Amino acid sequence: MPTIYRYNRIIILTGLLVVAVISQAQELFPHNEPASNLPKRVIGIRPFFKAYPELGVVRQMYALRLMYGLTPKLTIMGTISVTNHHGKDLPPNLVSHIHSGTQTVYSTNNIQRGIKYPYLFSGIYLYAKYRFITVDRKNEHFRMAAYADWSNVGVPHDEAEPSLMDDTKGYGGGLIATYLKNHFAASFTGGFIIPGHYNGYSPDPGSPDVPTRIQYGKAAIYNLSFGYLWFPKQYSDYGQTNINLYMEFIGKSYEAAKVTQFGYVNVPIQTPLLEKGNYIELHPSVQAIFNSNLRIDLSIGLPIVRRSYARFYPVFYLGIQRYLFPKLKKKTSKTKENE
Amino acid sequence: MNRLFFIFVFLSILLQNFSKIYILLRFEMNQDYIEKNLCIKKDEPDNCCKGKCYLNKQLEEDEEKQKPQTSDNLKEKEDIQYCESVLTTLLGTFELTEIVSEYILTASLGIGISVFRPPKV
Repeated sequence: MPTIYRYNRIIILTGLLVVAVISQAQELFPHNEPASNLPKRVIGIRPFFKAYPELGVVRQMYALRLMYGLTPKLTIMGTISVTNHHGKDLPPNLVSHIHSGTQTVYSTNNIQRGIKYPYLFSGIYLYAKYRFITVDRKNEHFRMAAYADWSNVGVPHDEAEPSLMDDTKGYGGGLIATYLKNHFAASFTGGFIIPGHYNGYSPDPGSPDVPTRIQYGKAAIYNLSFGYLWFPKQYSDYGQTNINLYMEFIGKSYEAAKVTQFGYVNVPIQTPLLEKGNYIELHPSVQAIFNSNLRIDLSIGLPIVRRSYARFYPVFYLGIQRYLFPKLKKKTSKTKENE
Repeated sequence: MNRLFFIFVFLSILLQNFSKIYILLRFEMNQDYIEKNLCIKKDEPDNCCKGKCYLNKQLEEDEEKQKPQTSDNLKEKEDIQYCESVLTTLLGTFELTEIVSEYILTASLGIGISVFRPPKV
């Protein structure tokens, strides 16, 4: 094949990958995954940061996510994170007991907030998404995907609400449906979380720490995302900066936690932290994509229906993402000679 | 130009009051927790305070933090600066340098009474 055609092919293929990534820019939701996938062999790197003020202390999470387009229909991701959300053990008064005569009365209580905790490595969170419905038209598409996620996070999380990425181990799954037309995109994610348990120790002042097990509540998640491509109104080149606006509703319902001490004592749940609950948060976001590659997301999370007891509000989010496109094979000296 | 000026003024006003707005927003978002856990009347059955005591405390703390930049302190600072500038204008600027010499070190530090005699007529 003549050299000029080979190079043209490389440029066209790379261009197609870029187009595949940015042509649906308004569905690159900061908090939810769309049903669309990364193109095959494209790598995505996303360092991101979350923070919220908690009575004088700023709780922070630093995370790094790697994404890979295994096939055009299958994307896999891995995330690691470091947070100062939890101590090394359960908080002192979350689970306690008092001796009354010959009886021991166990209780769960609200913990003291605003305590400084060290930064701890949370664990590994894995996610895979398979697109199984694709209906594409000009400037319009509808796609559906199924996802599964798993985590080995083992921090002493002190609320019933599970969160696989940074609070609880376990697994989950669900469906994603995404519709895009012109400048608008909408996506719904419905799923479940089957969390694992935490085995650790609860401090008991004046006595040895008490072996404590917390089984977190199973959860259903229902997220709705809307995206709007604000700028440019019409593309003139791939280097143009994109500005996207998002409105994401994040909802979760979860069961109460089960707390066991010494392996056989079921501690009654008396705090909203460990009771069943549900909430919906609103996360308005703005996103800028530079040179079709560098993506910056900024958002703020607010409670609109009840609240999550796992955090305080507002929740600030900053994410930076970059795509690495595969190097297409260059001509070797042998092929040159053959030509 | 007018638009830019308007944005500048608007942002200045917003930034000046940002901490208060932020405290109010944070209170609104976390009121149920504050009411149940941090309010001084949290154990009363008909809690009419609903955590507003905590909000007032936060606003007072914010006011305290902003105090050095405002009112009395700022006026005092302005007065000192005014006096300094008047003195500089009247006396000019001069440098204070330490003079080290044997003469000064050995000189008497008391008042030389013999100097204050009436002149001989």
